[in-house]
Amino acid sequence: MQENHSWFAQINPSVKLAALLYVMLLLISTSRLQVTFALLVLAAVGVCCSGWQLSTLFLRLMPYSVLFLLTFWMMATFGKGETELWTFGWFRITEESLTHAWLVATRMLAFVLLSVTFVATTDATRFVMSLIHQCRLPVRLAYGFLAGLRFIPIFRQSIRTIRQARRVRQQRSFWPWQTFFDISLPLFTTSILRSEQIAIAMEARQFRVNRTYYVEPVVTRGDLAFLLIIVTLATSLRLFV
Amino acid sequence: MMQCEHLTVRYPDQDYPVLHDLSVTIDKGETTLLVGPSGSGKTTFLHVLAGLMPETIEADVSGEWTTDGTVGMLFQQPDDQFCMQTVGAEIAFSLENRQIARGEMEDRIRIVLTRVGLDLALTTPIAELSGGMKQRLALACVLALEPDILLLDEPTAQLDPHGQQLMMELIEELHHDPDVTLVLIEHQLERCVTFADRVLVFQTGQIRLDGPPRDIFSEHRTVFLTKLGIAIPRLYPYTLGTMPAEVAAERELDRPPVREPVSTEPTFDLVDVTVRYGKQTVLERISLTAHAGEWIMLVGRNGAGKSTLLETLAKLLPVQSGTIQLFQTDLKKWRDRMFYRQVGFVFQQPEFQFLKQTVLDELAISCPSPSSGQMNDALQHYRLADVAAQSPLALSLGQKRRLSVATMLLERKAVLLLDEPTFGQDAETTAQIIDVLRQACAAGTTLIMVTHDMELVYQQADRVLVLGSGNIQFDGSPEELFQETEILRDNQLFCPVSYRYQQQKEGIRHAGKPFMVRSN
Repeated sequence: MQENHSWFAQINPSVKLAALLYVMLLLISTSRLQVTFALLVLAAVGVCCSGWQLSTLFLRLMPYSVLFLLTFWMMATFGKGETELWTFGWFRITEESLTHAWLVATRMLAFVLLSVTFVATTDATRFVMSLIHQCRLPVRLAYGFLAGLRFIPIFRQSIRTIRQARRVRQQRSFWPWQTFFDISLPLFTTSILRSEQIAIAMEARQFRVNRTYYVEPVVTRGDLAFLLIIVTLATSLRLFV
Repeated sequence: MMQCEHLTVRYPDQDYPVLHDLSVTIDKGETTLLVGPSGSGKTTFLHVLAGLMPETIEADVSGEWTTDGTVGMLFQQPDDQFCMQTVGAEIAFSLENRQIARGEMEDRIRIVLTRVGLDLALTTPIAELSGGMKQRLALACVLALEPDILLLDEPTAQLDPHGQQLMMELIEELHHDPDVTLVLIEHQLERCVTFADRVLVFQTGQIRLDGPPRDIFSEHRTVFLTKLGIAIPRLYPYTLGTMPAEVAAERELDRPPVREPVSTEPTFDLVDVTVRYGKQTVLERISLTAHAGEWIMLVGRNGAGKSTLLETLAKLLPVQSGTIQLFQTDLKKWRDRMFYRQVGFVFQQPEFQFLKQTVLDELAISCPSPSSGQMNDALQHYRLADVAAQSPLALSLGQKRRLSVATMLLERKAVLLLDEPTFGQDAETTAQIIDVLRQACAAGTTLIMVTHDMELVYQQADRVLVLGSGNIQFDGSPEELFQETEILRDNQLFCPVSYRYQQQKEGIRHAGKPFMVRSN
């Protein structure tokens, strides 16, 4: 998941997650538009610090901006309200619905930016290791999760093959969910077998809970300072804007 | 030392035990080769020795077994042994389990990586490695456990010839380590029998024969072994020079029959075809004409673009420049419906090409007008009658492969594209598939097949194409290819044993007297 080595990537993943979750909590605790905007700006600064080039950033955020516009439009035109501003056919925009639309859409965008920042700057292995050390995640669960991550590229390849095979054999489903089942059934049967195999292989390598760690994330002073800054900043934005 | 006394293992859902009253002692430092038909209990035996039963793998186990020292096990599927994302972390997983201090890990990781001949950065993602490299990494992970006993379950079965060779070299090196006890299941008998100390022959959960390789694979026993369905080494106990002619005929070392010239009627016609995958050019200006009834085999190293060429011919990938024609009609002008009645594709993983819930349905939708008589014939012909009502996904590896070929051949195709159809299959299934394909070929179907099996190329191909760095580097008959030592070397290809034997015989004939064969 991690794609660069920005300063953000150096922070302990659990600390980073805590900071982001705190900002998200503040976001859902407020219904004031100004506060939401201020926190959105904070999130945007976060994304800009995540070490992506502007062009990549633009491309990655494209789908979300479409989602933003859609949410905004839906909330604005179909929301409840008294003071009518504009009507056309089924669409009816009121002052209240407009404010509401702004609120929900910006909140959503802020959530997206925060999550993207986290995903872009966090290495999966280090994140899980940090969860073991800082959040006491059970070891068996953690290593199981890491093993599961390896299935994602394998799934992608398998789905490609199944689609090709369906094309060669000229098989089309009448209902869309049939396609879903036709693709997922072989995928699941093969992955059950594979996960069994992987579990056996892990046991054969003497997997145990009492172990040492190759990657052992610790919480440094820098991490704590980061947490403190974000929490103070976000709290003051929430209280004083 | 390992010892088993009256070991019996039965899986919960089965009526008969997989291992039945088995008693055997394996000494320290000994290298033992296990052979036997599939389902004879070899893998289960290794699982017991690895201490995986009954805790990890559920089964009823009775009897006594002891193993002295730590045990490491290497499995068949390179991909199904890893739980981390990068090379370094994966080897570290073994070290973590042994509770090695963190400061020591880096050095130890580098030592085992060097030992298996992998020169990789520790942050290399495992997903980027080839099958052969993955398997060597898996071996490195097992070696990081510093095992006294090493169990290997068909470690080369899923690798290409180059990967197989490197892996066998590593295994032989381990055999020379006096502290390591090796127990291996392996179908690459040719190489194994030269260094194994002992061979155990398994049949229906029991050890039928036990002795040194020279004894087990001696001449009077080969008939017995063949009857059990056990492959025997092609040369052993002879060498290329000392092989008697009558044994050579028995072991299929003969020159393949002379092929009749194929028709001149073209099927596929490619002119300057270029295919890109993202920004990378996979195929560059490929020109090729295939004829009806011709059996073309595509060989080359991993990533040379063999599968890409097949997918392009099957209209599954777009062409950037150049033209592909089938029966003088451009591929773009063919309607999908009509095109796929002419062209079939057998994928490398059969389970992903099945569409129906039962074997019978699967065959039925492959026929334009299925009748019950025709279905029965097909079931008999492909030996699927016993499993007609089962789900295709529940079949054995060989049955899946036969079904996938059957679905493509029930309707006569003009061209059949095959991506390594014999890969990882046992000798019996391979022979059946080749037989069916030969019939299709005789009926006028063009076969274009990707393979790594050079023996198959020599025995069956009308024409062989070597694909390397996006180009066709060789196009001609197998015999011509085997004389091009440079092309073979550059593309990591090997001459098959039967060809080398023929060469040897030729040499003797020309010289007029037998060659002196060096004894070591």
